[in-house]
Amino acid sequence: MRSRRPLAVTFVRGAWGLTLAAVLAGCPSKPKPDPAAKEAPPPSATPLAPAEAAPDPARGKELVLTFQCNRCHDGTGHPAAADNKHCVHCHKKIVDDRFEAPAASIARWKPRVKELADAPSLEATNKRLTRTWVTRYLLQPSDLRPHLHQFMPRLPLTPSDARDVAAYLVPDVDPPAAAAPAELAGADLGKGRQLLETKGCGSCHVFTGVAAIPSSAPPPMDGKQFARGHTLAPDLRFVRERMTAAKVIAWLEDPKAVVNDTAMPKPALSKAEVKDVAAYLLTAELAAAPPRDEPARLPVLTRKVTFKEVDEKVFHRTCWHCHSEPDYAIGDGGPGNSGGLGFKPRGLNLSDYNGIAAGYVDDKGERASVFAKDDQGVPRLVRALLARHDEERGAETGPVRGMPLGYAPLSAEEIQLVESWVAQGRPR
Amino acid sequence: MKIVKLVAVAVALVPAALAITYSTDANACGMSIRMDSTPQKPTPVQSIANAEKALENGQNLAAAKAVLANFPKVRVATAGANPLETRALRVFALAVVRSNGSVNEKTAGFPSGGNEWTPTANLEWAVQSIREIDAKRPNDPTVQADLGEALSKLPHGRKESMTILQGLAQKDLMGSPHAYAALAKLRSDQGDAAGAQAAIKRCEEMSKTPGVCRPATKVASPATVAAKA
Repeated sequence: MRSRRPLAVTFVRGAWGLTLAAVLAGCPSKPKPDPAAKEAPPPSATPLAPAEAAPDPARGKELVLTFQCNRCHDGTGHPAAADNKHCVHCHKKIVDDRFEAPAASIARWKPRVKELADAPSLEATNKRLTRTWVTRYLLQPSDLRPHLHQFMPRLPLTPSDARDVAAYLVPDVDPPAAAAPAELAGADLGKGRQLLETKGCGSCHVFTGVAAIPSSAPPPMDGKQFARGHTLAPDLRFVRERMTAAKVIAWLEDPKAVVNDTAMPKPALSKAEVKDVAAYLLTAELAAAPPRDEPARLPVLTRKVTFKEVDEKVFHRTCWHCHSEPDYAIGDGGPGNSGGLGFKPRGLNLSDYNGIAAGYVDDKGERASVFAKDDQGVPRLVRALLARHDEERGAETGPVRGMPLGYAPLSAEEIQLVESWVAQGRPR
Repeated sequence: MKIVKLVAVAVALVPAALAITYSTDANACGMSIRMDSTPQKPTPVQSIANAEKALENGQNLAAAKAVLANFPKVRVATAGANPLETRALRVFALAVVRSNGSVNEKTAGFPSGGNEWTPTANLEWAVQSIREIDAKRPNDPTVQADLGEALSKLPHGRKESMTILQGLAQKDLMGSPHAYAALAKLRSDQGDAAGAQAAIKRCEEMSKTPGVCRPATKVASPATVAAKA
């Protein structure tokens, strides 16, 4: 599970990898207070600054297209992106043998695309989530679904953009915070915990911060639905941040009445039991999330590191799908080259030696080297890989966005390999 | 009648017999490795990728041959019209440049269409072709490095070549050892030994092919300049 092995080598990281990046160049990363270290307040207890202009849901709807949310998510209120732009649909087609390509190519791609073959639908977000949480998550996505390989990418949204998108997805204003929601009056937390253990919730969900929920038989569902449900099941720790009591109760009573194609089965619970489970999810005492340490910086290798090795282990395995050259590959070169997901075209081609050397287009429209060192002497390419770690542990990041976008950070060993290759003069 | 039946049976058994005697599996040490019974002809994309590899490995003539086999009229290709053709044009032009103008249709064993390419005319053609690619792909250091390299082979192109290659080197945007070799030569010719050495060092760090970084470069004489075909 990636959240527990942040430095583990992930097998395939196709393409999106984004995260907010952040440490100001020249300033060491300073971990922010861990929001989970204290009891997380209900979402409406952390309102946005009152002086902010009212969000504009119409603009939010447009932004959903600008940031191409429909390349991964269904239920955006816009038509799905064309198949050649839709990461999830395209990957799903390959996995299901519906993609038109030579059998040998399909066989080669299959193991590499299965992770991005599903993404949660945005349908009925209003009935499930709070606007405050959606706003916050858009700005600083975190690892919400332990069994889903990819992460929500950190898109180049401003706070105003995030508010507008959230207002579009969640038109209802969040209710005022209540220390003890009326909907939960009389609920039995102990019973709620017991129900979680016996109704099969633990077969898909983890609930970090409380004693592990044992896996028990889930409600009847077919294998495909179970696999999908397991993949998309969020860590229940975040329920209290994401949902109100009323929304949790409605969801537990009948998930399909909220989202028609959800993989979450209807749990066999009475009304009183629903309340007990909701109360446990929303108010059980949570242990602080374990702090995520700064990644180890391994020393530069003394043995020779060639481009071939770095290409095989990093560039071609992780970066290439989003940063390639349109004339040399099927597609448009990916959002990291020709733009997309709200990003400007950066012309960065990480698919071959010359392409990497040719750098990227900076904000002034000029070419700049990915090997240029920042004032800490760290090449930009390496900085981007380190920034991804900073993002995941909630540290401040600088102007360089963390990479790989939407995927787990590279391992310390992989970063060491890249850093060594750069330090050795980038031998072919 | 019996003989006819016998022949018919024999004919019917031929495919089965062939299937038994000609297996698509190669057996080795009790293990089987599936082999393709019919070798696949490389697709044009694969051919051009192979041509690029040959070029990178210093096999200029092989690169040109691979291009001409797929794009016999590469000389008149329009840069940017077709991505694969543009790649082919780049490979052929660089094969000409790196062979100092000696690679052409004739040396590659293809019909020349009656055109005799002198080395200088050939180099002029290559420079013009890379310029056209550069125009279609502005702000691409890879093409600019190719152009700088090509221009360095012509006496009248050296100044422009120096400007291009110095600029790319200063910004650390050059991934071509050949371009660094060209820069080293230009700097050396200007008496900048330290600059030449620095360029050679970068060239050697990124070159896989021996001899690229310290070439005995011959600059084409400005004698006969044939018109572009």
